Amino acid sequence: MRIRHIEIRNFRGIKSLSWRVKGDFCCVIGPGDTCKTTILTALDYALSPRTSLSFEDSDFFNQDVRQDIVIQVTLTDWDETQLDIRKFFQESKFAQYKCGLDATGPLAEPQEGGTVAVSVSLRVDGSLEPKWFVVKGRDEGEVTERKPLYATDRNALGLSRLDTYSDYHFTWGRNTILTRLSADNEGNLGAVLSGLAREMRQGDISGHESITECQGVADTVKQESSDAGVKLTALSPKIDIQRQSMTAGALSLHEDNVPMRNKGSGTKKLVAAAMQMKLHGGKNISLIDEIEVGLEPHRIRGLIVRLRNTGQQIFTTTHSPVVIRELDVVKDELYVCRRDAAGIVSLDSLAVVPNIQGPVRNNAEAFLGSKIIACEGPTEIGCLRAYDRYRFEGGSIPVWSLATSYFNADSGGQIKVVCPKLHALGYRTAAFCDNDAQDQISDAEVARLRAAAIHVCQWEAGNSTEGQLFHDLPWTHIPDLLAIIADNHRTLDHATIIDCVIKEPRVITQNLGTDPTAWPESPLLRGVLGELAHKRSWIKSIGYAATVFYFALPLIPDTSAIKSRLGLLWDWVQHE
Amino acid sequence: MSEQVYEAIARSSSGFVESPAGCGKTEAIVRTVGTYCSDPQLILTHTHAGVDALRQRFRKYQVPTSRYHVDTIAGWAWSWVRKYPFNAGYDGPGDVPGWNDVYDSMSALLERDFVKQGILNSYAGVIVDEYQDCTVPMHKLMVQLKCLLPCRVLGDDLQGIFGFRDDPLISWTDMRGAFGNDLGTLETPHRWINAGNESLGRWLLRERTAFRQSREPDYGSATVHRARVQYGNLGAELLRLTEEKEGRICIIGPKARRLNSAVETVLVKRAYRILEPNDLTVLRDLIVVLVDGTDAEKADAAIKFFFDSHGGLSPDTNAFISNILKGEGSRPRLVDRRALFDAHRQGATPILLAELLDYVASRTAVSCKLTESVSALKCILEEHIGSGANLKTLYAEEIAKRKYRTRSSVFRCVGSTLLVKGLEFDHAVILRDPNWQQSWGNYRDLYVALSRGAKSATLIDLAA
Repeated sequence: MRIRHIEIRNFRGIKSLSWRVKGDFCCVIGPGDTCKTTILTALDYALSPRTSLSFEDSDFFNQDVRQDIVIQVTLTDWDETQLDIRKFFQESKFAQYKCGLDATGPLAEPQEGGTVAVSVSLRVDGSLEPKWFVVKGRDEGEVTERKPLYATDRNALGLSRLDTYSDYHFTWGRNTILTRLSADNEGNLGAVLSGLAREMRQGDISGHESITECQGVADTVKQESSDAGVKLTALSPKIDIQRQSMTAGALSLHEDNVPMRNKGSGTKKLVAAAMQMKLHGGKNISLIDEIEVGLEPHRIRGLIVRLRNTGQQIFTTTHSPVVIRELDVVKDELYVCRRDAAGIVSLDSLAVVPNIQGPVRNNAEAFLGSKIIACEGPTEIGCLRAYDRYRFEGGSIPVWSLATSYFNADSGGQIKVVCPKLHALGYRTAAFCDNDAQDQISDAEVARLRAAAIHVCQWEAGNSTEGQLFHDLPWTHIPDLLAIIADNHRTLDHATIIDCVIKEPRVITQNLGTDPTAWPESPLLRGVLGELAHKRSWIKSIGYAATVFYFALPLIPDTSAIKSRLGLLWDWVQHE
Repeated sequence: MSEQVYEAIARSSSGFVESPAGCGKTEAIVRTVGTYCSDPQLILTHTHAGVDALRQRFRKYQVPTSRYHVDTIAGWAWSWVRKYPFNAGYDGPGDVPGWNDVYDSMSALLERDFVKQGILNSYAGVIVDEYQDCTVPMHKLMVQLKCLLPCRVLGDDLQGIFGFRDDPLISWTDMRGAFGNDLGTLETPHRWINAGNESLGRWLLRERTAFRQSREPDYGSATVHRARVQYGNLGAELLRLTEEKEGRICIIGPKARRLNSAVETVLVKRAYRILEPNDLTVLRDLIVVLVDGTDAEKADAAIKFFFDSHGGLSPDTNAFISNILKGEGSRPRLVDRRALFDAHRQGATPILLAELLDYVASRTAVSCKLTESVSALKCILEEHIGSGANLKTLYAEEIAKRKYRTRSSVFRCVGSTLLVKGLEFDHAVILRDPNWQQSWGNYRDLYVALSRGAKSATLIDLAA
């Protein structure tokens, strides 16, 4: 099945959420405390076949138990040739509870030629007793046509959570993936295990018929894991003697004599995902909170590619640019999550912004915060990094703790295009650009950005960033600056710098000499230095610029354009 | 022979089985499903009594419930239509359905893939019982269902009877045309063999041609008792005729009207129950007026209800009931009447009706003839007075609640062929007057009536 609409009311930090899900690989990003994980938990609670779920007052939004928790999930695209789906949609079950779905959410009936869906609602009132229903249309309580949905029925929905809770899935416990894969075994395992419990020894259990079937499943898991890049020696079901109760959950998957639950978190995630892919022929739904946890970048990429190819629908969250770079924004794989002060949570696919894929790949980090400063290039980013460090040392809060990221727009011309897009996605956006090319970004265009609530930090007219630096730094520090530039640059040496300055046509007649401390201050020479630095890329990398500005910032007067304008930008970061 | 028919039903994707009365139709369905079908079958019939009989038989043979679902055609269609009125194009009422619209709407729903799929997920085949009772819209629906699933039908054209106001039934020729294969005929009269009266069963099978051709059968070799009775003596004669008989008895009267009130009262006093149609027509007529009528109409409808439902009311009681319901008349002398009179001066209110029912019940000389309508009215009024709920809604709920209360256990009863068809008795007593084809029914009704009694059938021709 595929989840196509999610509505959540009064659950934990979410007052309300209505999410029209378009893609099959849905990765949710957004600043901390926007309830990303709560969304996954809500899906897990509503759809997974767990039998016991205990709610507390604190699960209610604002602890207000008078407002029912409602988690309503609408699904489509099931495979009606699958036996468990056919059983689910029999007249005696939910054949008469198929509903419709449009952009606004579930409808009581399918529309002609429209989508046929099924909508599951989990409702919890002040009694804290969760109740599951299949409902026709938006769950408005008693007035909505509904039918109770039991845990065994929810099995057919095929949802599993594969993150922190995945240890349990390595056992043949109630409704685990392994148990569901061993569906033919129903009922036998309990009896076998209670018998075995009496012996309680690590005897050879492989002779039992049910165990043999579990071994078959274990072999399949091994093969799938191997395909997923996890090489395991031999997987077999064994009595987990550390477990207290001898229920079916005591039978768990072992590699040689090591229980799978003792494996690394990344390996466990991959193996659990591999198992889940076998369920329902792969037509199912997986929830993975923080998909990157425990996985190296190459394993992340491998997992994402495999998950995409299995035909299952994935809901995941991430804080990793590696994950973001792998995603296809155009296919609605990336959603930004926002939560306002009233607890209204919204999710927007990045695909709503045209041509956003490139910026996302190139600036994956930027999308993980709530504020973005779009910079003209690496020099500007380096400048900001240095300023951040300078302010931090002066007692200011650093930008990273304020969920602010830098975005490399790559040119002034791109800034004016990119900033409105980022703003449209709900990011608070600032532009940081130099001011030496009206053809790239004109004064009128800057005014337009400002009018669209985008903060613009720009140098004085005609100045590139390098130009502004050589303009604002007190003259006595210029020789040190040149030395630091040369020290840091990989290919440029001090003599080359000096040489190209003194030979510059506009100052060649001054016969400056090779000792910069002897150079006389003049606006012309400052201008020439700035221009050369800019054109010859003296500080055109994040690292060069950061080092140079870190040196220069304490020396530049507070009244200078650099410091006053960066100061305003920082005010925006810290206060708005 | 029968086993071959069962197997043919199970194997066929379309076909019909000719099933005369008492020849083991219920048995055929249950055995077919229990023995020859491995996947679940949808069993459709027409009446709740039929549903009940099938379910009991399935239970008797311990057929797993996962293998069958028994419902009325109406109930099954309505279960879908009420869930999808928009897709079905159904704009009738949601509480008391307009049945013909429901069948047409269900036909429309069968065009929808999601509905087809739900049905395909649920059943591997359909078996329709009592096909002769299908109306044209029902038949259309079944023909459509046949495109989706194997559809086999059982029935008997001779039992295809309907009321004077009812919709016409499907012609047997159309049925044969639609379902093609003749899967065989059930021709062992189990009902009479089991009752030790095989000759009556055989005679009914032999004379089917006569009934079908609308001519009087040849009673020469029959074990049908015949008698001629004067109208005036009817009550006494009926008592005399049935006194000796043991077991379950039904007296079958005209369809168009009820028996003479005095005769009914005599029978009710001898523990006969007067059968009422499922919708409790007398009650329904009252409820409709109570909700929609003027005060005067309400009073008239209530008065009519009391006179229809109770026998043995004295002229004095009649007058009191009329007066108090109309809010007229002078203060009565009798204490209990005076109490009612003092408490109720607003005409036919629900509270008055409820109290009048109690009052009438307390009169020993009065017998309740329409026990079903009266008990349903009591329940409805009680709920209405308590909760203020709409009377029509309560009526619909009450009818729905009662629909599975089977009549098959009724011991002695009076009713028309329409009300007794599908029921089985030890003795059937059939009353027809000289103009019986106008008021009573036709030769098919006669066949249905004569085939109700397993031990005996008595045909009384009435004379003026």
